[in-house]
Amino acid sequence: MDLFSTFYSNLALGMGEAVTLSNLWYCLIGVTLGCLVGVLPGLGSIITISLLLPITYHLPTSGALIMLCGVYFGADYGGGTTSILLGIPGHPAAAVDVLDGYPMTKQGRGGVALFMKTVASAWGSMVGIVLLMLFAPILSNFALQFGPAEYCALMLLGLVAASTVGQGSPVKGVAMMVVGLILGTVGTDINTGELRFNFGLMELSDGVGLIPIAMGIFALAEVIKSVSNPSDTSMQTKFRLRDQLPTREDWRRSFGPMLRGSGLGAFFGTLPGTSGGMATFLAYSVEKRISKHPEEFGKGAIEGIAAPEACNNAGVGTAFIPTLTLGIPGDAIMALILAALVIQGIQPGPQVMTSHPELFWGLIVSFWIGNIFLVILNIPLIGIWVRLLQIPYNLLFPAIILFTCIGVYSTNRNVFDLYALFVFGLMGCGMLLLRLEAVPLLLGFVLGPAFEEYLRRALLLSRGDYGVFIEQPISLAALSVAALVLASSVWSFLRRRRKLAIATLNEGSQ
Amino acid sequence: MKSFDKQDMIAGAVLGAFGMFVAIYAVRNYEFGTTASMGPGYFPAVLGGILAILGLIIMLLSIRHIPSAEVWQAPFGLRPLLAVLVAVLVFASLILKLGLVPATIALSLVAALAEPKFRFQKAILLGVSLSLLSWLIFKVGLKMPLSAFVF
Repeated sequence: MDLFSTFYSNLALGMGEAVTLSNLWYCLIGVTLGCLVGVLPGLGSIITISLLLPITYHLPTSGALIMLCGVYFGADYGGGTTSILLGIPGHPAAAVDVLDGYPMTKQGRGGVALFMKTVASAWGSMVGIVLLMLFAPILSNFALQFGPAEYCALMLLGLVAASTVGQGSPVKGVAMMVVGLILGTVGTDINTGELRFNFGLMELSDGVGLIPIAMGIFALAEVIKSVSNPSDTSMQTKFRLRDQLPTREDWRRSFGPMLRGSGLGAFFGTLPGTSGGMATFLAYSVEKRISKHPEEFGKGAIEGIAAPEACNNAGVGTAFIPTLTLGIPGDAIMALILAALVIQGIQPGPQVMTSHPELFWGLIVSFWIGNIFLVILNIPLIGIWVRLLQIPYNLLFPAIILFTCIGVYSTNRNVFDLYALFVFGLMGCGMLLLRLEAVPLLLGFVLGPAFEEYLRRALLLSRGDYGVFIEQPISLAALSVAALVLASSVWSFLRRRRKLAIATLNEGSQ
Repeated sequence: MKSFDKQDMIAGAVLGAFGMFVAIYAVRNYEFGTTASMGPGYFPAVLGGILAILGLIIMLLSIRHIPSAEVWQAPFGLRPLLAVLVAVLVFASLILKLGLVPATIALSLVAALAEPKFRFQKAILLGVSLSLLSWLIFKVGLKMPLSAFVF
């Protein structure tokens, strides 16, 4: 009963924080902006959140976080819209919607697909948020007892997992994560006060800025790539609002996939590095395997929309569990949200829930409100989103460059940051050229300073004995899982490569 | 018959060289300390060493026994690359000297060069409307300390 009453009072606290006129307004701005950028190809939530980060300096803490999280949820809803209507995914996680959503549009059932996507997303979000509400307080209580060795091992697990799930070679992913850690060491060493890697530049004494890095390697590189490959996004099909309502048969067929999808998504959301499509494809293939009519998949099966969307949004909710309770982000977006916390002067970690309960619970209540906004916004506004796709990219991209520059400059009112942006833009292009991934670098950079600090503290306490990481059960478990993840991803990468090589060999001999 | 995956070969070489540089620079310039009491050089030196080894592994893995059918194609063109990056530099050099409006117009002009067909009037028009928009958003709306013109 006691548990229930604290739960209730926490919820009331959150309500008081989130249901103020200004925070409702930030939430609405966030989700609308998120939907908008989710719909526009080449503008995802990572770019938008890094563009908005400088603005959060000027906002109150809860408002800033509510807005950024709103963008994250909104982009998730919006990203599937273009997948279904045009066959072009707005962001990678929505790619799976193309498989059945686009065929449904061609059959004139695009509206039904969009409606079901919205329902499945809302259901998935609800599952994710409920799990976040239940497990975050337990985990953060537990985490308060963690020592530096446990933190170190958990961070390493997060970093390894996030760097090995990408498309390419896991070795390259881990290498980019190390590059990120190295970039994180630039600036003043907190233990000795000595300046590291500043090469005589006083501007680097506080380290390299996160905002120039994120904007350079994500936004600028993405703009350069998109300008080079102009795509034709003219709308082919027309649909009417009244065609959007699913039939009873559609509902019946979507119910099970939504349940299973949200379960899968909730589980994978808590694991670092698994967001961004992997879990949604898994949910899709599970449905295809257990379906009584697998032949319909890929030709417009409603299950192919319901399961991945529920999975995706459940993962969005549970991804906040490690981020908010441990301060360990699972992906680039979570890393940016942690950075927003730091900008507001709050050190991420398990103490956030006890020292800033109004922020944590306010954020959770705002997730509910944001999802309600999104359901209301999405159904009538689909027509507008589609029309927005017709904004030509040659008008959009100078605006993106401009907002990137103003955002970077205004963070510290420092022109040096603009030159840093230039350097990281160049580096981002070099990384595209060599197929090196940006996400592990950003995660390494964000976690680097804390990782070094915990490592130094753990080894100081153990008097220089590395055995401390194996003696503690939690750190041993985390390190074993990290080793397992690394080994399995290297193994599957080598196997995939061999298969590809054999395939090309066969092709060549024919 | 052996061949190299050029992309991975270069990536490994660049990362490995960077790692080696970081490790050597850290060892030479910063106190290493001991494991129990790390100096400022310990962590970067170890990271640099790890990166150098990873670079070497990437280079070794780039050796293929079967030539890949994939053709290495740059995901972007040189012209957009230069136009976008120079636009940033132009903005950086003008924002304090001339102010937000001239810097924005210059940025739009340079950025418009990224497209195969450069249309001067359209770029100017876009620059003027963008400077108005950004002035309204950042100066009027968010009250950021930016001056529209500096004389």
